[in-house]
Amino acid sequence: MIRVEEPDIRIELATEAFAPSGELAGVFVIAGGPPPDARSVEFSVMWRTSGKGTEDIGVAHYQAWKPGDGTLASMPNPNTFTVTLPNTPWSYDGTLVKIHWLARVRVRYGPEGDTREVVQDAEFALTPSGRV
Amino acid sequence: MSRVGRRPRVNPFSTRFVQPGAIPFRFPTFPSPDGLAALVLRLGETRGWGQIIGPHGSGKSTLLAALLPVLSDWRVCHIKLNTTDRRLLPEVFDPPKPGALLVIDGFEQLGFLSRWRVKRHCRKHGCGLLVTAHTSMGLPDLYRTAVTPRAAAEVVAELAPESSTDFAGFLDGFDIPARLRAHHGSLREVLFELYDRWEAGM
Repeated sequence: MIRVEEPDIRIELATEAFAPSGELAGVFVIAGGPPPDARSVEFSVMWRTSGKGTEDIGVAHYQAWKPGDGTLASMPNPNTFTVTLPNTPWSYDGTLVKIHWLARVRVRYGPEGDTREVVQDAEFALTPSGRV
Repeated sequence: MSRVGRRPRVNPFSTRFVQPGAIPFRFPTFPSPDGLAALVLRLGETRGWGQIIGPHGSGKSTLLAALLPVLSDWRVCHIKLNTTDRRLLPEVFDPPKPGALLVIDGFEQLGFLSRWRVKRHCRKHGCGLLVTAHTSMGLPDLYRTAVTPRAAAEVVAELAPESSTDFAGFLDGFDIPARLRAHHGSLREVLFELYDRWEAGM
């Protein structure tokens, strides 16, 4: 049985902080390309809360490439991206609740019934000053 | 420095790291796969009737999160109740399909009449009923959860490994067995306390 290694995903952002309504710029690369049995590659820009209580999530941008519709074959790798960010919510480092912003790439692969996934996140700050 | 607009520091005791399913359930006497297999077998013997009992924060929902994926012989309908959501949807009382297993996490959140109605419904339709509760709900015991100091220490070590420089000295002076006793065996409360300790910078 051939053992397929876990896809190695890297995300680089142009900077660590972005202004509200600004443009998030960066690039992601899947080393060696998506696995031959890839079921999807998804790229999202999202915020999530963390803390002691129930956690929340919001998606500002989502894009998927799949083999079924031919988009995966034409997906650039490395893939440069620019995403217009919303005004809010701003990043927040509270005690009881925190707001994280992140760019996320998720690769699903493997045969049906044994599908696996690898997720790679790159955190950044959405901050009124636009800088760290 | 303002907290607004600042990229947050990740607290290793945040909900997403400690919620049921994020931490594996630890059986005190045998490895988890064997323990889960024994529970599946026992549930089959009782035709799907059973209760997981234990105090607040002792791992009932964590055990359930580990158990649900291995209940492949059953058609599971999982309902989670808590102090802010105590309602049962009317569909719960629809005639179930063969092999149905109604799983209610937090069964004691229902009033006496609702609990009686659920039991009667399951009995009438030959449907399994697995619940978690703080005290006995009159079903066969499937498991009684209790956190041992050793298990608590293992969970804390997994979340905040002392070998990591990020956690150097973090647990100095923090007596896990004593804190577990102070919280009446609730590991959840111990982890909440550690969340606050992390935020306070020790």
